[in-house]
Amino acid sequence: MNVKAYLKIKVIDGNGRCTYYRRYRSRSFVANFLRTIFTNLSGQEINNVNTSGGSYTIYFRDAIIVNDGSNDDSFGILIGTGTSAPSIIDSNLSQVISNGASVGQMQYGAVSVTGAVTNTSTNSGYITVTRTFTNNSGSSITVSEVGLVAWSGNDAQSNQYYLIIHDLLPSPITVPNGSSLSISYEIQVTT
Amino acid sequence: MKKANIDVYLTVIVTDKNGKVVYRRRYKSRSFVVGFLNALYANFTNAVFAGGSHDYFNSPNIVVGSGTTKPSISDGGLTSQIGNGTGAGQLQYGADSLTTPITNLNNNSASFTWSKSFTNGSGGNVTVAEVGAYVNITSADSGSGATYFILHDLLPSQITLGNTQVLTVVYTITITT
Repeated sequence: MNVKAYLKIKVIDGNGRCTYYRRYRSRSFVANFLRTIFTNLSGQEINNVNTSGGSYTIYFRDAIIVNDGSNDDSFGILIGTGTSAPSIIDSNLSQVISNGASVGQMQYGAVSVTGAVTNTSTNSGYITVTRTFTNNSGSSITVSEVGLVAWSGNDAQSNQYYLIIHDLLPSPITVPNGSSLSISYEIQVTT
Repeated sequence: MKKANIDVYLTVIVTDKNGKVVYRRRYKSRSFVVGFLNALYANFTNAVFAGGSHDYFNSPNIVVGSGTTKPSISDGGLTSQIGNGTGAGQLQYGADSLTTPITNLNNNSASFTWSKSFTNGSGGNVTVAEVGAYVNITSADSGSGATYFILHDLLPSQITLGNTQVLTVVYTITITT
């Protein structure tokens, strides 16, 4: 086996009750992820495209940081309203839902990353990246796409945000006002 | 819709002293091990948001061995790594080499290859039964880091390298959207 990713989605109402749960196979690592690892390992600095759509030169020391803090939508797990099928060259979600409590916005929680959990019986292991988004906009918001954006780290030669996974949800999710949406990426290997 | 993510293929090529290919096989690599997850976790999380240290992958290192134990998720190295050198049972390790990623918009995929050659200058036969790979994670600030064993494959058929023959191991890493 190789590397697979799963996408777990929960909607929690204002009383803490889970009102929706789905687990999908994530389908869409994009080229930025591969290019960054290539430059890290080879030292050959090639180009990526950042979330603003600009081309930049990957620095050999660029990181793949995803554990963003709360109330920030620059990296980590992002959500959006776009409905375009992901492409290998995507550089951002089609239409990002920004952080906030205004119309069409959701409040971004901090990203948490759990260390590897292994199961020697099944010869498998996984790490999980999770973020919760709270809808205090005053009305329902429909989420149709999810992505994982990495930060290169703040280096003299590089300080970039770049998309590494992009998924279109098989079914859009409507998050009522006062409810929260929890998104987890489970990255799994099986030996 | 395709159920893609990250796939790895393993190609092994044996050439004689004249550079002629005498053996070639391509397998689906099956065995990322927990070290890959640990390395990814370190990269995902080791950040000082005020602008300090961050960690990055580096120092790729493909290795070969003679062990025949089936890989396990918790493996931290090959079962029996073949040493670098020209002594009995040893192989001369070349440098790791990576090719620039190729992106294919027609099938929404991208891939690069990571390879290394091993020359038998031992004077006798050397049998290779397993292949693996390490990477380092290093702090951009301090330079300190750790080594992670990330891939371990048992070859479906062992390869016996005659004296002066060269084994080239190629990992092709592919993502498909």
